[in-house]
Amino acid sequence: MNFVVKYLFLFLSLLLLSSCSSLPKTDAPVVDIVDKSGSSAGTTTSHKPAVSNPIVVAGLQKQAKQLNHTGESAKAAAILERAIRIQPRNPGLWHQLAQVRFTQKQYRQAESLALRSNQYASRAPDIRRANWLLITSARAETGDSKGAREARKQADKLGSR
Amino acid sequence: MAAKKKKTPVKRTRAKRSRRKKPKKRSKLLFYILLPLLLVLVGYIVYLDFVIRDRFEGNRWEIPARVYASPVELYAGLALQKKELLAELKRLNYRNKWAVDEAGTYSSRTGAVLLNTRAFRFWDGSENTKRLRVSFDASGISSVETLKSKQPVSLVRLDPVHIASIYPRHNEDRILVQLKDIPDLIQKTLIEVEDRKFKSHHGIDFVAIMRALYSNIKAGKTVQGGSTLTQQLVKNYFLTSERSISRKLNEAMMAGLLEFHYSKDDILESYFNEVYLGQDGKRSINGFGLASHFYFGRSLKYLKSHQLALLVGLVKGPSYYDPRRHPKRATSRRNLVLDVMLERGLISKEENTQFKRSPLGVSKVHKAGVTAYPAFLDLVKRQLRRDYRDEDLSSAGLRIFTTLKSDVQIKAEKALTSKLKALEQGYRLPKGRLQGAVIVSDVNNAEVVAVVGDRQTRFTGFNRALDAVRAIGSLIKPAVYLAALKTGKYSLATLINDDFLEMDQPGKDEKWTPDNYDKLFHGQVPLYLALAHSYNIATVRLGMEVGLSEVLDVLSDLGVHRPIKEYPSMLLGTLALSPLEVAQMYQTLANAGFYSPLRSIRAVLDVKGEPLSRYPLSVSQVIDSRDSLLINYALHQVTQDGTAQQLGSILPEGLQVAGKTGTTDKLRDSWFAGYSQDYLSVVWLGHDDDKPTKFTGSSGAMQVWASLFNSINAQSLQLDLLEDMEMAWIDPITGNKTEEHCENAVELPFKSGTVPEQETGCNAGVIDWLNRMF
Repeated sequence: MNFVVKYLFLFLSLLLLSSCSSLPKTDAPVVDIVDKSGSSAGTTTSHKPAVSNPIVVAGLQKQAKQLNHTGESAKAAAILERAIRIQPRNPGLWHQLAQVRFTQKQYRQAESLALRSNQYASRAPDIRRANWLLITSARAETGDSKGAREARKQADKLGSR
Repeated sequence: MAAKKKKTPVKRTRAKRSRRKKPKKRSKLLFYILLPLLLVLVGYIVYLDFVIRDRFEGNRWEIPARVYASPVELYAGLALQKKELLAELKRLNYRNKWAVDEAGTYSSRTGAVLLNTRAFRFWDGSENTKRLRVSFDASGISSVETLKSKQPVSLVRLDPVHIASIYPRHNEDRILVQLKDIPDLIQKTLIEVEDRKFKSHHGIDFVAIMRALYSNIKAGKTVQGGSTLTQQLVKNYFLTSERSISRKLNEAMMAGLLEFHYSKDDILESYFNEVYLGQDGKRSINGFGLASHFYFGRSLKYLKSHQLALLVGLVKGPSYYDPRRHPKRATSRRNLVLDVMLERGLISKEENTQFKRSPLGVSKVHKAGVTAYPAFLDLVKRQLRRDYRDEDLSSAGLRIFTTLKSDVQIKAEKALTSKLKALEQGYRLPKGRLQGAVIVSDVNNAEVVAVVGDRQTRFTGFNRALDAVRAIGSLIKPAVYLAALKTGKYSLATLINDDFLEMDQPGKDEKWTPDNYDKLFHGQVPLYLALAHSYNIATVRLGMEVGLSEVLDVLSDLGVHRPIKEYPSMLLGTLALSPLEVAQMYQTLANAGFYSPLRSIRAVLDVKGEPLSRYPLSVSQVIDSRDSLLINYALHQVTQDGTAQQLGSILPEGLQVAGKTGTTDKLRDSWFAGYSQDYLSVVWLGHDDDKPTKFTGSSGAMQVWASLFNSINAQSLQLDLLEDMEMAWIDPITGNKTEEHCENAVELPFKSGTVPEQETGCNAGVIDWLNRMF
């Protein structure tokens, strides 16, 4: 008898539970905010991340590059910071700023900025590789040879050209 | 200071008389009296020379520091609406002029704004004046092109809004002008009206003094002044208006010395920058450069002849001839000057007639003296004080470029004040006692864009945003969960126990039994849900398992530097922080684990426009970005089905955000910290006297936060899955891997290697639950 009761109870419970709300509320569709594919597809048409038109900051990048070559690195950095304010998710800008810091011998900052650049470079393996190479050099300069080797491995993973 | 000068005529007579009687003794007397007197005189002149030169050259003028907001950048694709651009132009005091043929003017057209930008020298380069057409569509700026040739312009930076000045002791204010930028007409007019022989005399014009003396004696009172421009300049240097003979003599000598050392051009230029021309509350208007802006709202070189005439007329008595208070007097004085201009051939007869008929043309007073954003300015000053002395701050004419965004600031103020009123009404609280603070920052570069420290936003008292140190409650929880994720032993799916917990308290007999807000126990819950629902018991258990010192380390990494007592109750946020400190903590979380100190200043320039110091963007990775992403995901869940789920119905459709509510014991503090892709904001509400508020984090602070994010153009949160990460479907009851099609399955991000190995089928969770029951 206990056997029957148990399974009857189980059957009824299953019926009940199928409409039960004591489970964690997951009947609402989970919002897809994690971008796995590496594509830039947003989930909705409104409030998409701003279109990153490279022309807008191209002039600033060129200016910064020239200034860094002529030794005016501080000014080059200021211009790149301005470009980053306009396009914060542009990995090229962060990479360029990392290069300027490297020129200024600020190796820790150069490394951090290159890592930051990588955050936005999921679709740009070239930039990721360039970042890892920069990190390799920066770590070498601070005497972190082990770290430099690890960084070099990361760069090599992304192909050698 | 009385001049020790003996009257020579008397001496000579005495010397003559006594010479007949005792010639030798007389010459000795002469020697012993005259020479020391002469020496004293020479010494005194040397002293005056030093004083006047020091004043003329050294710290020539005390110029207040000018504080600027972040300049607006215009480019095609920017989500800026036409009315927002017009609002910024209004803040910049651009004038509406159809032809836009002057720098600093704009004109509205259908779907576009024409503008003529002002040139400006920034710390990283100069922007030239440009004539542009900015066109708009539904999403924002569609194009920016030059007005005449219709060439596309890729990027335009407007001049920044001047938000405040830091005044020197005497509250003097001026805008420096160089002689070459002062219109010829006003230079000539000033000389003709005030000191006709300026170009030829050596500091004093005796003829003018005699003429004035004669006129004054004739009239029985002072009707004319005989001072030269040089004498007036000297007079302006020494602020006391003592009008004694000794003072006059001193001025005359110093005027002569000035003329000896410096050129007419130097003296004239100094005069144009020094002369007192008006009063604006506490601040005095010095120099023609500032007077031009103060009275007419534009630069000296844009003034018309009758306006220049008025300024020259003001020299004689800025208060007496104040064009706003005494327009009749000002008009007759101006017309007198216009007559002088005609008499001396500086203007024509027709111009004279026409200008005399023109109205004064003074503008409304711009309240440049009152600081609109005191809470933000307070933050700026504190950050500056680390590098500059107070004297430098207020007198060296520094130009301070800040990170403030005027539109966000205004919206933050509005959100706070309007919601506080609504809450007082809704919860029947006594009016005016509830207080709050708001901080808004840019997620990507840690720049502070808005600070509100008091519901009375113009108030310069207690700045709650920086100084209200209050218990943070559940706001600490992300740090606890992050510490767990950091160990690698936990994932978002790991089940933690939310059942009854009893803990020993050191030094107390009674045990601590933390409870949840809903007073229920929730059994085994996956980590991400425990955080989303802010379960207290699960959090305490987790924190104790991971270790209090590990949690403290994470807090320190996130940028919290206040010393914290290592008690278990800290896990539920008994520690107290200011809203700024909370913002720093969440800034690091929102920024993928990169710590960047919150800054309010970008650069400081000296009075000449040369860079003095820069406050660069600096980052350092303190948290593994993958752990950071996991926490961001969980904090997003807070807004989906956690304590902040109401946001879904308040915020614009499609705007995804992440955040955390915080409520303290007896509802004394209401907190919300939340962020979108681009902006982070922390809101605190409470009473200064710590009395209960009657509402929670989500019913109080979160409402202010939502009101703000509804009005700024926030971008939807998007998390990019990083290397060494993967997504997997999980059954939230068992914490095991499951299949996508199962009804209650959720897809969660994981660090590679932490995905649960055990797999279960659909509804297996239910059976497992039942088995546990029996």
